[in-house]
Amino acid sequence: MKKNIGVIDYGLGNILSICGALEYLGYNVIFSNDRSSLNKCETIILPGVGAFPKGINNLKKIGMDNYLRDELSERKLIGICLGMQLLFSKSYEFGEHDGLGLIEGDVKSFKNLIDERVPNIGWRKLINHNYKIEKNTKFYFVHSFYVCPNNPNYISASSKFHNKTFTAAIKKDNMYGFQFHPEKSGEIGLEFLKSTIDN
Amino acid sequence: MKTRSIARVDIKNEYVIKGIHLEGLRKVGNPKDLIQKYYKEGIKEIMIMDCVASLYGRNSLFDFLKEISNECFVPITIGGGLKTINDVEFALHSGADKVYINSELVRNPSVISEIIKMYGSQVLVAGIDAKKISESNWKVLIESGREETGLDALDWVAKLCEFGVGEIAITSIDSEGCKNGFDIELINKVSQISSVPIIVSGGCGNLTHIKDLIEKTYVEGVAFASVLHYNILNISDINKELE
Repeated sequence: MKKNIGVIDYGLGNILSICGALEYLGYNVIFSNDRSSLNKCETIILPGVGAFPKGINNLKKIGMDNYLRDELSERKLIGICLGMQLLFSKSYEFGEHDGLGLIEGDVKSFKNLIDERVPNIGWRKLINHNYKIEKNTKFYFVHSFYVCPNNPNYISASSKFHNKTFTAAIKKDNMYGFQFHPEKSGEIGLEFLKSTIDN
Repeated sequence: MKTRSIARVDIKNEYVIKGIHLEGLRKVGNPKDLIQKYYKEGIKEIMIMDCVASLYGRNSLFDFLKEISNECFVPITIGGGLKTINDVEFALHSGADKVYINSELVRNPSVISEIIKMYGSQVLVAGIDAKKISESNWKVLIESGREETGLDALDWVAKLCEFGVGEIAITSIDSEGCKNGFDIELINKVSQISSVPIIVSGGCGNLTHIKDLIEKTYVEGVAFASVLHYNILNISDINKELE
């Protein structure tokens, strides 16, 4: 019996990649913004590529912001890239915008951190984590903003951008977030995604 | 910081082709087979350039990209004749993560803000084909090197960054396809000016060229074509040099 994985349809993200990756891994993908369809899933993915204000506004327009807050305790939620950033209190992308507030902390620009070419685009190693992956495993990142959780206990992995450490992954209760794209990080990324969903 | 390897696959109809100085069409293989091969061998990104915009207008682009993105789980950029926001939308909905646009940015730079407002700047790779005209001077050509623009390459890099593109992909027309090494001077100049990540394309013939590039410059990505399509270098050796 294939597991149902929900992918939130809110108009952003490279949907073919994430849905394709999940199908390749053997899951039954429910790509939707309808509550009853998503409720069939034990795990929900919030994907996202693009800008924070558009992301949060698109979620609000279709009531998915409330859904994510309401249904959190019932299922596993995985936020990827912008999807992870939206979980936070506030972002400073194109002005100040409130996020879903599911994790306390802000989303800030690399431009204010260091004077290097932005976005951070490329394959980077993870540090300070307990994942069962080989030491030199790299994941694909493409982002100009990074999350700053107030509570360091929620940080499950970090990475470096020109020697500045930033949060690469979070875990809070049954909520996971990855700044990198496991669905774009080759076979290792797919295995990582699978182990997050299945464990 | 480390640099990533990119396979540049130029397609004409159903073949992968390879030229020299952006000209000449030598058939080198089947696109899907080559792309899958490179993915399995560890390439970090794929750039598909549709040389005669042959994949658009037919739904074959959607099918082609969908097949590729169902089997290759690394970032995919598509380019070749992309002009409008609708072209971009079509490309992204067909499975591309990024779009490469070159000539149209020169003809109609206002398309940049349309694209980035809708999809974010990381979706847009701005391509520049540069030809050396004198010491430390390069001009921009468009339409696969066939048309003059009157633009200075370095000025154009700065302008594109101002417009908000996500990355600059710089191709040296002089080095392209020759396998004689990269245009290090051009790359360093672009590197000094660009505020967005840089992809370098054109010139690699052997591992020493890559070592030289890494020693003398910092760029975020390097695109390879000849050395891959003609089986001159293997991807794991390339990755070792870049990482």
